Amino acid sequence: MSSQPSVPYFSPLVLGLGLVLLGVTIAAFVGGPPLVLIFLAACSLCLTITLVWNSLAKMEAGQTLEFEDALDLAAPTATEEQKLAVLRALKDLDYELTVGKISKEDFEISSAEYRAQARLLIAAQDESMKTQIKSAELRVHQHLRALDTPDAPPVARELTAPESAAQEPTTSEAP
Amino acid sequence: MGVSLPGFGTSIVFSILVLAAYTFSVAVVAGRGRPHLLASARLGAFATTAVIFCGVMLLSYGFFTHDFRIRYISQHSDRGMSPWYLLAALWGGQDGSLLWWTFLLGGYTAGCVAWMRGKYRALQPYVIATLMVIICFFAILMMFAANPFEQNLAGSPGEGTQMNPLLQNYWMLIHPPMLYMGFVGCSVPFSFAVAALVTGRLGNEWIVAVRKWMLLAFLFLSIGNVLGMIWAYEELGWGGFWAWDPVENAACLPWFTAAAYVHSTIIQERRNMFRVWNVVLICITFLLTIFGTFLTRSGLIASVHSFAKSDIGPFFSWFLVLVAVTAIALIVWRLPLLRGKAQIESVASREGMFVINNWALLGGMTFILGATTSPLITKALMNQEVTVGPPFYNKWMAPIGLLIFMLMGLAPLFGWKKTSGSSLKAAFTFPLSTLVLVTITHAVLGKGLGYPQVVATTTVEPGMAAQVYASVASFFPGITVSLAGFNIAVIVQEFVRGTRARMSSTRKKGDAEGPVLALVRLVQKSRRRYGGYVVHLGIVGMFLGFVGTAWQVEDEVNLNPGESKVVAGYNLVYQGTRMCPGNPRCSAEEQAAKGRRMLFADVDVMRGGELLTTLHPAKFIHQNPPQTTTEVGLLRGLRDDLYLVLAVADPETKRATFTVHVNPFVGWIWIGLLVLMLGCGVSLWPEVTTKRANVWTYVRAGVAATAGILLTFTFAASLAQPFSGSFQPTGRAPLHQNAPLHQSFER
Repeated sequence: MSSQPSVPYFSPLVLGLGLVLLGVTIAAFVGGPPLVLIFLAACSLCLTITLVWNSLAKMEAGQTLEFEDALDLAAPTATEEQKLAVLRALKDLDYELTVGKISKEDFEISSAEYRAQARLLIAAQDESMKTQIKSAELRVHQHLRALDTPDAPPVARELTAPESAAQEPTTSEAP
Repeated sequence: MGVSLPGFGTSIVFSILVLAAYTFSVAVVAGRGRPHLLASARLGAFATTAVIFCGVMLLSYGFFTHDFRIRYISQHSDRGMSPWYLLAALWGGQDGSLLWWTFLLGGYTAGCVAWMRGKYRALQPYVIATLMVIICFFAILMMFAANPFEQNLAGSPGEGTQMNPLLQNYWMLIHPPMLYMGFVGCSVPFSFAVAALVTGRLGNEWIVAVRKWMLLAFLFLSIGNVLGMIWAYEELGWGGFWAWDPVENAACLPWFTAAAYVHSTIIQERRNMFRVWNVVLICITFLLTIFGTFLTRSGLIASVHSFAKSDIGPFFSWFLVLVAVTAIALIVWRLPLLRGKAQIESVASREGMFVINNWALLGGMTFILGATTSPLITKALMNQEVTVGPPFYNKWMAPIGLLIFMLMGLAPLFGWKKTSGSSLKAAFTFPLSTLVLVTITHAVLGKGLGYPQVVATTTVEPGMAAQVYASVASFFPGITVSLAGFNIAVIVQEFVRGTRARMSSTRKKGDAEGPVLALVRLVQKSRRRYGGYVVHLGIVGMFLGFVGTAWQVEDEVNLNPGESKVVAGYNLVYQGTRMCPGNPRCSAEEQAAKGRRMLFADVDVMRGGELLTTLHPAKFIHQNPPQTTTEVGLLRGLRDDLYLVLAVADPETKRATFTVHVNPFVGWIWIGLLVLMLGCGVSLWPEVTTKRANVWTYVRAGVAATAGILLTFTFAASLAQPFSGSFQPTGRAPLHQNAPLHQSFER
């Protein structure tokens, strides 16, 4: 269970909807369907103006891209797609064996083929990511070291501390 | 200076174009390296939807306040129309239907953008941009060719012209919106396909995203088409439900390609194959929806459904060309990325069956498309228009339909990749035994019950081949019933096998499940698979309804008051005519009817000496617009429907001529639709994860579930209401117990 409260996010929406509902009810009692319709038209026009205003406001410079957004922008590789398809096929094969759609012999043959394919694809994926992982590790390392200055925030110092501690004996042992 | 409603409404139409164009621009910039602008584009999309909603509300307001300054309102409503039909008038004419279409597209856009929150960030800009292009097109159409807020040049008339009486029917309240929901729904998968092609992210990401949207469009297309059948059946008064009218055909074309896509996408997900095929199918489906709209509105091909010939045909033609050229260019550009490496190893495999099924569905679609556009094609090639009629369609669509029906049963029996002989034997034993049993039972009992296995078919076409084909076609009713048995057996077997497997596996784990629990959990775990089988069951019901036409009984009966005639076991006792309002035997509601005279012929329907009901087929003479309509008397049943049409009645002598149809199994089409909806509902039901659940998650889930259940009940009730004979949406159509829905059409 997450402790993140979702109430604040929904509150304006719920409040707005509640007000519109209240307005619709009053309009229905006072003027019938025509008043309800014109009230809804007015509300939607106000909503349009608010949304356009916010849309323009969001265009201002300085809006930074969040980490999740950037991560999501990276396209899955063809190898990843193939790997997922093979793993899904393996799962299906299991199901088909259990419901008796394929014989044990067919299952063994197909399963072996798929497993071999999956192994190759996983290996290829690991291989292709090796340099990227190394590069990412190096960058993180450099970034954390850069933060290890007297005016760096305490969190950054905490993060870099174990590494510095681990490196100390090595430096002291050096001639 | 005050702003008038027509002027304000027109400015709202302009605003739709401006906002959609703005959102398009921001979305494209966001896609081209400035992803932080995505939030602006998303808000722009919501704003566009809100302004479209504003336009719809304004036009509805105009209808309810009878603002006849607006041409569209004065041409489609008068002061006497009930609120229900004032609402239906919104989409009852061309200009309003375009605004309604844009509104539904706005709804889909808002739903899709809300659903994409935090997902598909790379695809989102282009999905939004594509949707905005479509909205821009409809806004341009409204601005320059079919403005629903256009002012009457001659000033406001004192009274408007009532909506066409044919459209003042219960089903017209829900049939067009449902069909439009299906048509418009195809825009979302198309937008994802364009986004995938533009970004080059052609893996399974977009396929997974599109899956449910396409199924939703397929569901609405199915509902829309079947509701159209019900409307035609009750309204047009010719005894059938599908006349192969060009507009009917245009409505069912995307259904074929959507059905093909729903199946072929599974192959891409499972085997990483058919990438080009799937993109092509989505593009064709979208193009067919635009083509269907074009056909309805251009007036190029004569149809009972067409709107008046208008200027918007060329707009659609150009848009059709633009979409087709863009889609082809994008596919050609991305062809190297789209080509897959995997191949089908054996035809005797699930994917092999799916491919044949896809070709059959596409073949059916191509045939209908070719036949529908034959007047245009022959005009262009031979300088003479050749129009084909229902016998031509029935002749060729019957074998194609049977092939699809057979493949529907065959495909689930095969495994992926390839299936050995022993597995096939095990899979086929029960369904084939059922098929043989059904065939024998039908042969033995069918004739006695009035549903013979072989119905002699004759042809006027010359040549040996035509005669042979006619002989083969005589067996189609029997083959359909046998295949229905086969299909039902396959579906039952799939559920039984799955349940048994689950029971066995849970027993091994020490957490044994009973048959009911295992069945429920099985469906829960593989909703798409088992929801699909339920959809297949619905299709079986529909096929049984279709085949019933082979055993239809038709008779023409002349009766004086007090005389009777027996038709297919129904004893029809004619009681005489009455003109309403005016006759003391008319009900209070009939007496109060305004704007028309109604000639009813009352017929008691008896079977085995027992009075079943009294039917009231009628002729309605409308004043505004001046039009005579024929109202059907209908007694529904699971076995057959008694369908009574008043052909002629002499008000002096009261002698009347009736056309009597006894239509077997028609009710199964509507039951099939309900089952299909249930199956689609199972497949579409969202996955619920409890990883980050808090109290609000449960509140939202509870509200959503309650709303879903209430909506389902409302929809089911709305379908059932007209059958109960208690629906009275209008002050114009008097309804009394067992009275038909007042449908008519002079053909």
